[in-house]
Amino acid sequence: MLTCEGLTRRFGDVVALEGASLTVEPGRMVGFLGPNGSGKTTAMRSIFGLVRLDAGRVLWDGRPVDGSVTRRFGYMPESRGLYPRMPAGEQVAYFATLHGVDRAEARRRANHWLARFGIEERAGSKVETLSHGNQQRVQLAVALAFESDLLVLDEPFAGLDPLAVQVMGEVVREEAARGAGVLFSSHQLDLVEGLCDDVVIIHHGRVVVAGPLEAVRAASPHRYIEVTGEAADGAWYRGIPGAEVVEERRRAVRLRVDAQADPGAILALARGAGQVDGFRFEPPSLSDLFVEAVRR
Amino acid sequence: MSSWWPVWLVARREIVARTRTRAFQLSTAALVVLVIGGTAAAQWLPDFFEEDPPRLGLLPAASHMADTLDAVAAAFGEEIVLVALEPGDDPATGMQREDLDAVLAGPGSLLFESEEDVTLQAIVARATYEDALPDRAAALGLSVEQAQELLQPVPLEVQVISPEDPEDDAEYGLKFVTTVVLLMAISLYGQWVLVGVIEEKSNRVAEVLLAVLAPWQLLTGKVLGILALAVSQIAATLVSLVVALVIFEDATLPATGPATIAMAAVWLVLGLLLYNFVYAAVGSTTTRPEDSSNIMVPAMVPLLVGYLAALMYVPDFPDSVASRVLSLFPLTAPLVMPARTAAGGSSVIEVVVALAGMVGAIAGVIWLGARIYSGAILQTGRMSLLAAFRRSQE
Repeated sequence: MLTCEGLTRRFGDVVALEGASLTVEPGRMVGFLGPNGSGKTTAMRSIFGLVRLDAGRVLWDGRPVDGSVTRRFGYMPESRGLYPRMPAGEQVAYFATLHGVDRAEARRRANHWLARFGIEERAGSKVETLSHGNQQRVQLAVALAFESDLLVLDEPFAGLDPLAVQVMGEVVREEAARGAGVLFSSHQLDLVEGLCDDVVIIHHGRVVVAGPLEAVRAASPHRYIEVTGEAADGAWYRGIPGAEVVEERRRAVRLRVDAQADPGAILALARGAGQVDGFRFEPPSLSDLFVEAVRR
Repeated sequence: MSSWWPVWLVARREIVARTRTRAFQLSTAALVVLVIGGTAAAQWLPDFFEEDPPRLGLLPAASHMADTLDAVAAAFGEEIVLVALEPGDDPATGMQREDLDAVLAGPGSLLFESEEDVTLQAIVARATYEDALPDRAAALGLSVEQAQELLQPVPLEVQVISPEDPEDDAEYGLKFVTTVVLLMAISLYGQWVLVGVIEEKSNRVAEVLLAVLAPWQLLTGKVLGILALAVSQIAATLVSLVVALVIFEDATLPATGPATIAMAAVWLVLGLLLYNFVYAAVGSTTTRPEDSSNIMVPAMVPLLVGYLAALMYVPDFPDSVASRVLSLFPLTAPLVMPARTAAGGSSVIEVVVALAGMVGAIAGVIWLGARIYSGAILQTGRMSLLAAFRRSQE
């Protein structure tokens, strides 16, 4: 299990990390969220010792992480990094050998992952001749080309088409199912919500939300109500204590209410205002949680 | 996994990637062809451009001097072609018709067509003197033999106290070549290291590499890979040169050659290692390939000082303080120490001290370079070496 305790890093006056802590358990997918500049990339780099910490420590199974441990971690940095003139297949195999895989096995795994991403026919092509999406696939294959204990993926889905996102999502899920811990960042919150088991939200270098996604949602002090139909256009909800309009469209309204609110009573109120075609009462989505956390 | 295994993997990738490039293949082939072709040309071109022997026309008044002229020319080690002109020939007409360089109209009259040929003039003057000697001797009442004995030069005993050993020349030549090759090699292969590091930084692959490798492993692997390529390319060139010299010039290596070559190889390898680590550290401080020539300048200064001193100062003053310092200072030692040894100015102890200093300096540069590299490699734009070092300590 990866444990980051009190990570702190300042670049001059800029605070990148301020006592950030998080854990990644084997077999769990952790969505690492935060606005731009919140400290996600710095935290991910610190796991590999690429950033020197002012304070805090990174542990693997309770022991400080060193080179022999990070050799068992797969990494996909935010800024993609590949040798432009090296063939894709050789590139994946090369990085696998750096992680301790023998050359024959590395070549086999490179072929496997390129085939899995549907670019096996480009294995002999130089990376610089590949499209952006295919370079992204090669970059992920580099991170996957050995059976890692931990995958750290910084924005792995950025710039990919929906089909590629689906394949990559499946692959990462399979890695977690194999037993690897997965820490990944993304701004595609709907996607993260569908993939992650746990969530960590970081803001101004501090972790503001952390835990299993369902538990975090359930622990929220808010619930969200969506009403569609004629009733949505009325002002009936003004009578609900603490209710806020989150989104309003024609014949649809989304409200934030206290977690203790009675959904039956609210439905009755809505029906009193007009026809109700649809009614949902639910904990916050990941998107809602994110907005709540960074606006707090 | 040994901590040196990744170093080997990085070095191997460097070797494989570079030997595949057309630039490497063409430059290696060009060097070999240039060396062999140049040596062959040096052998054959002088014959090709050698001028025909001068043609001297003899009017009937000088025709009796033909044998004397041939004998004198042979004694001078020169070759002339004598052409007998017809009685009544005008010298100018004869020159044009027979394509002559000069005409001897009579024993004291030599005419050139457009410019004087000093050698031919000396041959004719000597022949004229020998032709006139019997008459002059008779006028003085001497026999020819007596006249010749009178004019015989007094024998001069000549001795060389410290004769030059041709082996010394060969050895000095070898060390001169070492100095030149080292400067060229450090400049060329240092550029490879520098640009390679800048590329790895600018295309961000360094971040992926440093997630699995220590900076010293990445740095050392890159430098050793390029060193292997440099040594193989230089060796291919030098072997071609030796083969070409043996084939075309019928040359043999001096007896002291192997020892000198071994020492030259040691200085070459140590010099390349030291400077390539310096260039690797310097390269990590920028992301722009166009900065490479600017950031190389500080490292070029000691290199050029060593080179100029090795060629222009040390051979004449091998025991001066400056020569001693430059031959022991690691950044100039690879260039200066071979030149100083060739000039007979260094002791075995000094060579050993210089070699030990080089090894220590290389270890120091690896340590310092790895820190500068780790402090600078993830930064964008350009930063100073000091800032990079400080950043690595933060």
